[in-house]
Amino acid sequence: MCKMCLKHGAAGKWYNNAKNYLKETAEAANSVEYLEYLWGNLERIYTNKIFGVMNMSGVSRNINKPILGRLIKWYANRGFLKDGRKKRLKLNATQGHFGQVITLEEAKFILTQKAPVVVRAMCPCKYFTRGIKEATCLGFTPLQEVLPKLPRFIPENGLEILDAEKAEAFLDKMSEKGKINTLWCGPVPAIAALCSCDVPSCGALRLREFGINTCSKSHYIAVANLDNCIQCGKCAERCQFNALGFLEGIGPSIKPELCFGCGNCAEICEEHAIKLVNREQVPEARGKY
Amino acid sequence: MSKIKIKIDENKCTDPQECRTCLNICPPGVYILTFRDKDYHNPKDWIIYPVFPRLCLNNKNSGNCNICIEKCPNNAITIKAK
Repeated sequence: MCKMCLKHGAAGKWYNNAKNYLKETAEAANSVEYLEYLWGNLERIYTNKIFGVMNMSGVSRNINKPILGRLIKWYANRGFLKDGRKKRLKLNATQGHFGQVITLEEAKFILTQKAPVVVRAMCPCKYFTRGIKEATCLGFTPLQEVLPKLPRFIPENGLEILDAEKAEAFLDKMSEKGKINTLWCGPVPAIAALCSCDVPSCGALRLREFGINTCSKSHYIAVANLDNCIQCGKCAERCQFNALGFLEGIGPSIKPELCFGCGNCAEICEEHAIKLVNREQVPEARGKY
Repeated sequence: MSKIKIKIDENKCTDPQECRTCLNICPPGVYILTFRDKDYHNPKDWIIYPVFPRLCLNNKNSGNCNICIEKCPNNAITIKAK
């Protein structure tokens, strides 16, 4: 169990708790105001003034320095789990913006059971770090109120509202391209968006390279069963975290400390040689989210 | 680990928002598209900056990559070992 599940999970996983999708939770956490600031000023928060302290180049220069680097890590990591209902959050420091990697099955379960109507908007990370305009972010109820006020993130064809079937088909299409599903809070208990990103473009996953845990790992981990492997080598191209190395003549070898548990390699394997196991069952990865 | 300094000449790198060759071609994804000052609506203020220089493949361990230097249309990138 991660820290988020212990606080907001109601004896389960936090994204399976229906209370976090409710409109009342979003209102209690001031979700609309928070998301309007975050999406409206994302380039300022992310690339120019990251966590309200220094810009992106400043973080990359200073993160390896002995004391200053530790200070930045401490300051950045303490804010992500702050509850939006109890305290007024520092908006420019992205406090309360917690995210987690989830598998494709869990994402589909959320779309069919918990929040059947989503809206599709432009991905802000891809636009501000890579210059790509692509509509890949699925927004839940709080984001649906905010988006009409922000014309930059409305795709060319207008805002598209997807029902569960269309959203599932969209996720299938993205997973064929090798994208990962991440679920985001806009401030902590209220769930705001489901993104399908890949590693060089997702801003939060890039920050993990500095040791800043913006986006935590999933509850699962990939384990290879070499008896079933036919050595096609398809899984080697799918891993985005450099966790899976393919040894010719033997099969895949997965480093448990690097694996995010996104399930990308397990989906492509036709022989079911890679399985997702609960993270708590593997001693090297236990408790490391 | 050897330290590396990557420099992009801003006078030579014209129109980074349209070009983006180094962004797309770099295998570990060293570069990021950012803007210089507060005026992010102005396309002249956007620059490409090497934010993750320690991921660069020009190490003592992995040898020379130099793809971005070869493919840059304006020859704006220089990589030096410190």
